[in-house]
Amino acid sequence: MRKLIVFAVMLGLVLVLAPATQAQEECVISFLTVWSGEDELPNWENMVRPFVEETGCRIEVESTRDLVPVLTTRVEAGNPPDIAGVPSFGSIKTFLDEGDVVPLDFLDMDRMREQFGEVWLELGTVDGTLYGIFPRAALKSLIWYNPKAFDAAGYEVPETWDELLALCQQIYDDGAACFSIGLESGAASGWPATDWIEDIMLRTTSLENYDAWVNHEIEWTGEEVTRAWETFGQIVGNDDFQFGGSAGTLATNFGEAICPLFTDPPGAYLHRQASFIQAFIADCPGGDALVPGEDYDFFLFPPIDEEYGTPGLGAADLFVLFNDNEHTRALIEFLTQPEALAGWLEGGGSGIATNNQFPLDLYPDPLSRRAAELLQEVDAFRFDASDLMPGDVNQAFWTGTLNFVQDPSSLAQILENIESIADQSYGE
Amino acid sequence: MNVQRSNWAPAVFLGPAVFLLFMLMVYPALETIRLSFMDRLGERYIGLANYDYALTSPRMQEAFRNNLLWLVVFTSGTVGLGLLIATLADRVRYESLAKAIIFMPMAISFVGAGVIWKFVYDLRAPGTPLQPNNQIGVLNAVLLSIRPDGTLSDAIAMLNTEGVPITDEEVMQAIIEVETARIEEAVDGEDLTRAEADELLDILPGRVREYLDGQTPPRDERWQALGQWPRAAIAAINEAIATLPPGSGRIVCNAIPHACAMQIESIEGRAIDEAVAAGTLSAERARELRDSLRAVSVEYVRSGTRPAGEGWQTLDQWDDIIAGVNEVNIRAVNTTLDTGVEPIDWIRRQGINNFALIIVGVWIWTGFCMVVLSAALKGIPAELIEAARVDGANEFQVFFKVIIPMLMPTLTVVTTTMFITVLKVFDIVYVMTAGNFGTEVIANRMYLEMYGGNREFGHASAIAVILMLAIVPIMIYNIVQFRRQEARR
Repeated sequence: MRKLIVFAVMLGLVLVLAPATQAQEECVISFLTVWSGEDELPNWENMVRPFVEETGCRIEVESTRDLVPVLTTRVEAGNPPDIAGVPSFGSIKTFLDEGDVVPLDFLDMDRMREQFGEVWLELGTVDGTLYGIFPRAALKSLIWYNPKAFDAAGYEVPETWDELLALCQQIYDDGAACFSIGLESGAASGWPATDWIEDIMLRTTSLENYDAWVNHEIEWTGEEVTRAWETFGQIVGNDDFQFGGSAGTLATNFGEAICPLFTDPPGAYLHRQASFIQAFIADCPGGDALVPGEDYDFFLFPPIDEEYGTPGLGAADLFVLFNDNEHTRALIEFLTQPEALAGWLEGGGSGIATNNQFPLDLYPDPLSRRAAELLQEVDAFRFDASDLMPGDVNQAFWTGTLNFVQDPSSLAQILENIESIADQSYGE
Repeated sequence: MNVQRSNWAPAVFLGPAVFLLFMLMVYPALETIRLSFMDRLGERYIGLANYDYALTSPRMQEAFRNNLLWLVVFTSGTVGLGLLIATLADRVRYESLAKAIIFMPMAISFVGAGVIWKFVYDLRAPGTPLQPNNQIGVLNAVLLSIRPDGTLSDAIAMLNTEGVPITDEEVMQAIIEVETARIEEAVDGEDLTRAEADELLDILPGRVREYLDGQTPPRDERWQALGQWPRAAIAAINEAIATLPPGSGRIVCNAIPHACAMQIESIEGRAIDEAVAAGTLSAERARELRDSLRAVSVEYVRSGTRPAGEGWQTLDQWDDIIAGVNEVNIRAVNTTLDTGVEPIDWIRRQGINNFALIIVGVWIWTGFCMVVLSAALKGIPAELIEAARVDGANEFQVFFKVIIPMLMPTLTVVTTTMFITVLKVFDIVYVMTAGNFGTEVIANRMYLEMYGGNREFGHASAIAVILMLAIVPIMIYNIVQFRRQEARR
């Protein structure tokens, strides 16, 4: 009997002490993310390999599609991940308010200011304190063109919206279409048009208004939003400026819409799309032979109203810290280093380093280098608004753009409809 | 003892079935009804608000309208065609083969059928004779292959009657030269072997002839300069026009009115913009002018009729513009060659898209109706029909006075089954249009409320309940009918 008691006590001790001793010996950093094994996770592992090798820390990744609910559960249970990649500060507002998120005041702010554009520090700052870092970004405000065809026709890259419209008229007079647009995308049809409107919105009103729009603090039927749609209508409301007219725009799949730029003679000369479209170019007829930088290139969506300059629309990964210790600090520190993204790109991942000291020659091709240069040129940076809106509103936004392209004169009704849905969705 | 045991024995045997039935059917139904009175996440009781939404929101009203259309057209289509085919196939020697083919679509999943038909209805951006159509949708490809005129040869003939000195042969020769040069280059660059090149050169004249007559250029990467065929053709036409004396623009305009109309349109359009910027023209009037500009300038070129109304800026220069036209561009030739046959966007053009979707449903379900009706048809005693014929009834009378009444119970069951099917229609709509462009239906709305965005448990449940309430009476009627029919046997 005594033996049994001793054994039980020993077992108890082992169970109680084991995790404690283990934690002292080993350094494990937990990381919560939406990245999954198929796509970005291997790139992430590639990226943090130098850190892991240097510190001997193990990074334990928890991957989930439902990030915010999982994060909420874990924070409320007092067991938050050490570091999380979250979609936006908006989605973790409660944690910020309750002080669950660790301020990154241990970073050398002089270095940060030197190496990161003001845009990124501003985006990572809440109420004057830096809470998040954005090591990687993607730029969506790109207009693709075929430099060879442009040269042959004697066109020049437009620097303002008015120049763009004039170019469109000229292209039309010369017998082709200006833009090739494709909105077909199954149940998500219409999303490429929402990117257009967001880009225009950023260029026709203040950043405050853009943010207010995202949060439904200004109305869809209001002046700012209406103007953005109407400006978009200067292209999609004009059959002459779209390849195949508005019917072509509605029926063309978003992935094939860039192809008319590469026929001879070109059916269209311009295509607005995020950088991912590069992967689709190879699928165009004869696309295999096209050389990036020579046969296709892009320029930044031109400014519309001088006052608001040329903001960039895109996506970026936001990292926030929930547990403050030397290891997690070291990881955050590592992610802000100039060459942090090197491993990510080396492994075939796409993206742009936000750190302006990132060596340009580490980009795999001239186009991603150009995108990186353009990202340094933007006056501000904002996330894709529709992604940040409630799903219902996003859906109505998609559908609304389709109806708008089909019948631009129904704009007022379309916006009223989205407004009524937004009214309900945000209210809840 | 035995009597006592039999008290719980039925419970043991029935228990699992009842339990499963309850868990899988009754409980979910009750839970759905409960959720339909709760808020978005099913946390708070909100009374009839979800039903208010489901019955009055514009999106749902559109869905109700479309479901009604489906109900009428789909049901009459499937039952009508099913009956027709069953009757006709009854007398065919290869009856089982014919029926198997009609029945085949039933074996395809609805999503698969949606995908197949999406290709059938596919629309590519409209092509033109010089940039020939590449429609991959069967319907549009067939539509555009009916091209009575509007070939490049026709354009050349038109130019000839107006006195532009050019022949088919010259244009052909221009294209052949360009293509030959590029093929030789490819041989030098060792992209083509000599034998391949000779083969191409051999069939080249024939292919160019076909191209002039309106066929698409060959789609084969060995042809090196395919993309330049239109350019070569236009260049040759322009060269011929350049030999005309100065001021011959009118000749070009008569042959290719759009070449001049476009010049006018572009210059006048710019002048209108300037006038608006200078404040001498109201924006509203400018819009009206711009809207009518194309029609007006084409009319002017064709007949010399000047447009009425205030605000035209460069009207007095229009004649000069025409006289100065000395270049034909690709668009002008294309527009003139346009035969007016345009591809149709079957699943997006409002007014036809709902019917296009319904046809897909009919395609799938006709086989089912046909099989059931055909079986019932076989059950009609032959002597009855014989008797009718002996009494002097013609075939129509036999069909409507004997066969239809005998089929009535089956027809009712088939029709009500179709009613139920059509009320639940989802897959076809979701796959092909996702409810956009005015094709919304109730079940698709239910899905989108739940998964399309906000996880609206409340809205989705209310819609589900309404759908259930619509279907249950039909189902009960269906079962009653079926029982009656069985009892009659």
